[in-house]
Amino acid sequence: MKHAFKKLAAVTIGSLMATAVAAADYPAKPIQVIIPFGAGGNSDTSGRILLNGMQKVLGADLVPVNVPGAGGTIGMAQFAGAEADGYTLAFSPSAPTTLQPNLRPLPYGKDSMVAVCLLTDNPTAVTVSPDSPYSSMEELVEAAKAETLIVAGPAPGSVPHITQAALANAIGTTFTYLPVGGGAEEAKALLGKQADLAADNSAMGTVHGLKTLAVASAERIDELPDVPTLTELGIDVQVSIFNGLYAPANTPVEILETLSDACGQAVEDPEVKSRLQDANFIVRYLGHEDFQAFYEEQFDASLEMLTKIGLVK
Amino acid sequence: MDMSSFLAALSLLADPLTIAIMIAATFVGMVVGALPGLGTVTALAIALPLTFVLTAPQAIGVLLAIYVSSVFGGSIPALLINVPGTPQSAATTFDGYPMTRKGHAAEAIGWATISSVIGGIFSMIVLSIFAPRLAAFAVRFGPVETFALIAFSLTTIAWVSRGSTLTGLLAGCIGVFLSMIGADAMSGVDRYTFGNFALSGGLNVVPLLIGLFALSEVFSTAAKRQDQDLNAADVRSGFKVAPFREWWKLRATLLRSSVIGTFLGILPGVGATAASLISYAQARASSPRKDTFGEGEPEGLVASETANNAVTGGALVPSLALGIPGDAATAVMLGALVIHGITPGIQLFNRNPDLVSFIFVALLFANLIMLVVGAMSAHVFSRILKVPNALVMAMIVPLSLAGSYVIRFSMIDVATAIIAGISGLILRYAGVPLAPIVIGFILGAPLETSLRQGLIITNMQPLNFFTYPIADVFFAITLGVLLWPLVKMIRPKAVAGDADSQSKTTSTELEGNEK
Amino acid sequence: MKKLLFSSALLWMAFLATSIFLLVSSFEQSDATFVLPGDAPPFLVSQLILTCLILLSGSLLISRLVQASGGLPDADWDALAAVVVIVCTAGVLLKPLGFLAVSPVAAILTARVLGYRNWLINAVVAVAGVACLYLLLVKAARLPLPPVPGLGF
Repeated sequence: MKHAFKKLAAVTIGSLMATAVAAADYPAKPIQVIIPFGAGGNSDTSGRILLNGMQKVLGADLVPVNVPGAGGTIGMAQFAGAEADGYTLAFSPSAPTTLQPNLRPLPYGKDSMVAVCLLTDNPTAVTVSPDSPYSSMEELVEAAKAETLIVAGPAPGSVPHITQAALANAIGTTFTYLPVGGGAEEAKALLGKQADLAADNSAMGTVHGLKTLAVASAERIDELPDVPTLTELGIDVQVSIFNGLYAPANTPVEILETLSDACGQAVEDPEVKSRLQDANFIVRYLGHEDFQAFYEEQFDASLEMLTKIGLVK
Repeated sequence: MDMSSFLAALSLLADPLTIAIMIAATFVGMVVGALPGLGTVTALAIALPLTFVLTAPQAIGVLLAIYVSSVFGGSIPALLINVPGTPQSAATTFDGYPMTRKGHAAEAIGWATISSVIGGIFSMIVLSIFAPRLAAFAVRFGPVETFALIAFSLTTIAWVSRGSTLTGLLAGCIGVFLSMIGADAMSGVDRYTFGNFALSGGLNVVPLLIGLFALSEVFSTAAKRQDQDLNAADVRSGFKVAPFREWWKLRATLLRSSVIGTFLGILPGVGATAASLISYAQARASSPRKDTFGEGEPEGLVASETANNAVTGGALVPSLALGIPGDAATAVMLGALVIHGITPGIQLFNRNPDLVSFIFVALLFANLIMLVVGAMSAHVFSRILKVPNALVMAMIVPLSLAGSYVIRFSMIDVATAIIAGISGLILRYAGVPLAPIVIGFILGAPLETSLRQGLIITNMQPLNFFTYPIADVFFAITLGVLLWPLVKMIRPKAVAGDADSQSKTTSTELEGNEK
Repeated sequence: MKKLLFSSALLWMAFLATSIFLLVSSFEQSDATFVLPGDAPPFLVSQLILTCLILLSGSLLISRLVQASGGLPDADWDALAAVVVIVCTAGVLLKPLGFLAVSPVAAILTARVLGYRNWLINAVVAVAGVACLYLLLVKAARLPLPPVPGLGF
């Protein structure tokens, strides 16, 4: 009995020490960062910029690994099943982490991951074609109540899809949803007059030369100072698309802190900042504790909104 | 593109470092493209980390060079060992490999190289002159028009199936069905996944191609009793270009294939693989030499290789002008551009005209380098034929495993490749053509998506589809193509021609070559 | 009769059976969820395709039975079976054992089955080839392949 106890003690102390040592010289080998969308997309672009910046700080390789499919859930499922040793992370937008788990049964959930750091936070915005008959949100709302407008967006379960559903709910009308793909495809649908509006990332207007009628945030954003918020107009809808770094649940706190600090330093790097801003991201850094709180808050808010719209019973 | 921005672009290009790394990139792209199982996207992935430390023009130059040369590189193993190096070169095996079997490997490489360059330069010219206008046209190509175009493209399945039309249609339907496995893009519902979560991402075309063409070739080689090694004396290695009058005879094919490739590249979602298959089918349908297709007819080889390289310029049109990637490879390039602070889209032509001109010039330069590097490497490549066939085929196994795994790091793709390999062999024995499976798979998703999008915008009135003039044009052509065989049946025809097609239908040959 | 069975008739029957099975299960699966307003039901087009497959494989089966010729082509079935087994095993063992462990073995065995008798050259080519592939994909392109457990790469 005594032998067993001694052995157990030795093993416990040994593994604690090993963890401490491992944490101390973390990162000792390349870190894989799963990006649950294809190369060239929004989250891929911002992720690569961040990882490139973090590499300089950490002195180790951060390798982006694209695992696309099923709205980001395939990649996140793979990530959630990885070991919590800090060598597999995920960089994801908000839909796979806050919306999808609330919409359908998945092999992962809020408790499968822990937040490391927030990088970008763009509100969604209502955009129309430059030669659209609606030049203000009020006009659009009136038209929306009179007839059924067509909204272009990505596949259901994405942030723009939720935004337009919330918008319709708040106005008291319904839209017809036309899934076409990401921002560029939405712009094409607007310009080609197949759809009347889109409700995607606030950067879309500038990037594709569209008219932005309103933003879905609490306050006006610096990038679009002349665009009113939906709240100002009496429509209580606030939705944002945020990109952040995550680690599997139970990752040691020391590792989280190392990563979070490196992330913070990378964001301060002028080259990283300018690259992100040139790509039209609104940079907003939150460390791991603040981001964890923010993430949980967003998760619950999503569930609430989805229930209100009726997409979740 | 006016003179001053053209000169500015040239000066950007004239930097020796830029030229040097573009040449290196061409070589790397060609080699990676030539490895069966690794494709254009993998080749671009190799360069992507590098682009961070390069300036924007250098990064663009490197990516364009790799893009262009990898498409060409895929044709090398396609015509030397009947295994396409990239999906885009699947159609090159049909006539390229028989040419090698007859001992004309050097000529085959010559045909392939120059056709690729011609296709690439044609699309580059179209891109530089017409890009903004073409982009405006592409915008007007909505779901209904896209549906009509894809329906028309599917009818070409009839022409790639040398066996009976029934087996060709069966293969096409199999392909279309396979594309529907997974989460539905329109509603998010899982289809035919039977509860398997990993399948909700659907299947991918690359492992399907690796299996159907590369692995099945390995299996087929195992099944053949006689020794596969080509007699070394029969192989004249090197690079041989056919005389100009031979090229002149094929001018119609060259032009038509360039147009098909460029045009299909402009429309997102179709891609170089479908373009080269459709171009091959079209060439066969309208050629006076249609009976020699599949036996080493240069026209077939030219049709395939011109089209797949012509897609490169075409795919850049929506990418640069609208910010919509034309295919997976241009998606990677767009991402690289965005990282460098260049946002493609309508504003790009206004804000950065010099950079846009540079892209055109770099594309032209990339095509020219490819010609030189291709010609010089031809001798090395044909040496592969002297390596014992068993060793070459054996290496296809690790290449297939790795190539299918790195698409999405999913074992589903590896399983797809292996199952497709076994199925490919069985289907070859049964006389089912493999190309329609690929065409069906690639076009199945956009066909269904555009149909359902069209239904949404016409409010569930399919008859309204006929109110779209551009779509009507394609519907009419499709109808014409479908009815044409009926018209021919009514007319009296030669008995010999009939017996000919009968023997092909009941064939259960072991010939590895695609029929 | 046996000859008939081992001809493409078997294949058409397999297609027919599979298509019918999938069609039936699609009706079960489509008691599903979310349909966008105006959209066609998610399973409709695939059901149409399956119906076409049923008709096509049915016709091919009938025409095959009517012809009543057949039998398997002449081939080296042992070699073929061996290679298929090698490739399938390699696929199954790829994740558990790692790319660097599985691939050279698969390549060496395949080359041997295909007739190459010089074990030394076979092994050298296989190992060198796989090593180059590994360096290209994992190191240069940073596309990770399944690692060998215990080795970490």
